[in-house]
Amino acid sequence: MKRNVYETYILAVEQESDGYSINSAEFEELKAHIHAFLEEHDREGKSGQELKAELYREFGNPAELAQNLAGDNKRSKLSLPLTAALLAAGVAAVSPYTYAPIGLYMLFISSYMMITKKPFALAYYRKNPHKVNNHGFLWSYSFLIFALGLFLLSLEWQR
Amino acid sequence: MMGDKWLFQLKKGSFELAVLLLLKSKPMYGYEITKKLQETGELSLGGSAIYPVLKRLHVNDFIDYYWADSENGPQKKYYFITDAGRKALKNRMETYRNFYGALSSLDESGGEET
Repeated sequence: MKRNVYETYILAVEQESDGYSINSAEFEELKAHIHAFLEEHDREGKSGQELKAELYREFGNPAELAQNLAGDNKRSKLSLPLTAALLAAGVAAVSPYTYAPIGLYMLFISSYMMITKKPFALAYYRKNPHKVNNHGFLWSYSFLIFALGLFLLSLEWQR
Repeated sequence: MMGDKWLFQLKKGSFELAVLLLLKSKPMYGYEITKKLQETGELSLGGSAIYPVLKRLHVNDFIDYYWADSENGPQKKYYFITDAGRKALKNRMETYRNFYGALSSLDESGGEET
């Protein structure tokens, strides 16, 4: 009974995740979790229907679980700072402006960091997310990038 | 409403500490950790909610993992505490005790609210 509920649920999650980018290691880990969860409830003598109900109560329906599993991957595909960087580089390459696009990009990225407190355009903070805070180096970096942006804009103005 | 938000933040900050405390004694896999947390009542987590906590701890090098075969199911991912995790746990517990001590001292000296 338990095996049937487990396999049906896992298969449904796999089908629902079609089109999402799901981390297979994360899914494998969750399979062991679901299996252990069902084993424990099976030992209590619950029927197939009861096991299914417990499973849905704990993890949601297969579509919800598939979306949760894909959540982080969907968000990390193409971030706003990366889009802005590519746009700035593209404009600098094809337009008559040399410094202005990069300067504007730096103003954008520093303002983005200060307003949203998401400095993940910087590799250092991607690797050390726990070091994000409201003071210290993050604000020094933001200020420095902002100043560099203004400097590049002034260079463009003087050309 | 304000009280709920405060409790949510307090719990959120305590999960990492709770997981490190659990892993201090032996390696555990996700379901095992969830079960232990549920036993505490206050730190209960449902479904797959433990995994973002484990991911954060792993990104910070406080825990590491290995895969192990299971007798009658899929492979299990066992987490264990690292040296950096032990240090962080020691520091955080000390800070936690200091905070608790500071609050308790205020309560003893004039806690009319309680």
